Amino acid sequence: MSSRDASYARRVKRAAQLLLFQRHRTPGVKGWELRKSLGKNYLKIVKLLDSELERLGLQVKIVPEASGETGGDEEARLDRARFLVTLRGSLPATDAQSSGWRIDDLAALAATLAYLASRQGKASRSEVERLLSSKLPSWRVSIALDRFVKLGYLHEDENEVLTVGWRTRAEVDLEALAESLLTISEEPLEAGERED
Amino acid sequence: MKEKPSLSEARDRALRIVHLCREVEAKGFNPFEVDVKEELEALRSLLPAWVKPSNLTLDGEALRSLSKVVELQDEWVRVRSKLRILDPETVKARIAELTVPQLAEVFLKAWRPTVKIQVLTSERLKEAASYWARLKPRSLPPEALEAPRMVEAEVSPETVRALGLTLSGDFRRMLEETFQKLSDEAEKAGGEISYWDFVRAETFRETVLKAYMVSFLATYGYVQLTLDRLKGELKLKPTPETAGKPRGEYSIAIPLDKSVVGGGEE
Repeated sequence: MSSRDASYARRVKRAAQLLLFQRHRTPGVKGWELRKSLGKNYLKIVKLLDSELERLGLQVKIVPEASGETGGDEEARLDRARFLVTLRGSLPATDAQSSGWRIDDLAALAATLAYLASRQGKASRSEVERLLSSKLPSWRVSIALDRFVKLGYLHEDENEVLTVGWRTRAEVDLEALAESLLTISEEPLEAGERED
Repeated sequence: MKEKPSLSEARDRALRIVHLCREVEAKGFNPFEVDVKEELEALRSLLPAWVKPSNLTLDGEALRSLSKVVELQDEWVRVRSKLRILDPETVKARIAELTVPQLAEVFLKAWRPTVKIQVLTSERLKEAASYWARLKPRSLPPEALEAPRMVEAEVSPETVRALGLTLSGDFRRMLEETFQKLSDEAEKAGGEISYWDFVRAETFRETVLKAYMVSFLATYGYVQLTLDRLKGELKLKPTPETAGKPRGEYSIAIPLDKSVVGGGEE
């Protein structure tokens, strides 16, 4: 192995440590942290790591600081962006059960995100609460929304307007969510659920 | 009639097209930022410059990159049109129709959860060891509670000044500097930081001074001090939105034990 290859291999390992080991309360690292640790061409290293992770069903995700952030200095945008590792495909339902999420929280998050997507990304908290109250007890709705905000799936401003949070942009494929919401009942029911 | 471009000009132009397309593909930018028609016309105008068949490789590569961008544009339109048909009334109707498990399944199909590894750092191990060393054995009988001794003393203004604690303009400046430093460190750490990580300084005197500043910032609403009861960890979170609004709900006494906090003789 040439010294150049060895240097790349060393930096790919370092990138994996930076992205996978949780250092802050929020997962992942900022672009500027990667640049500081891996050097100027850190994007190339991240791309190499991404191809290594592909074999394991994982991927490196780059999440811009603000949604729909375009224009301006690209280097500065990447500096502010969050880099993290996510699954490449969806999580099997059996694994989700052991992930610590309640099934009604997952349902509430699906409904909230689909509603926000249909409202160009924002809606008042009271509207969302009314929507969720049709499925869940009111006291659970408020707790669930607070939890989603705390975890970064939603963002709430001082006017109690909810928008899609950074974590949704990192972890949720809104297109797949929309498609699944519209088509799920068309799928055949499991044998046990089949109606007579 | 247009002049025939030189080989080096043609190479530069073709490379620029390849680079632009790759950037759009790799970074997920809006593919419509590439004017495909204009780039194709540019490639056509470069054709007379390619003299050897080997030169055509670059032309082919540029053409392949542009076709990839067209594919991305198609995908972009498809995604947006799918989200566009998702109007609020349809969503409300679908949510009403579906059961809670079905809605959960909708989320699971679209969820790509973050993967992270939690590690135990040597610093955290030291904290744990220090905590363990301070724990008294449960077999020992509880010590009789001793009433705290109240000591009243007067301190001269010179002594206070020698400690760096004055209620002049300097004090306000020090408070502002401490708040700025705390905000910066909290931002780097993702919103909040450990109280002890922030307050602990090289000397015991500096530690006392920082703790004193933090107590002012907490009292006057600049920071929020919280206790994680499970981990027994104190956290500081800057709250600029409530700055200047004194908090009166409760107070927390945090003893500064020199043997635990450490620091030099000062």
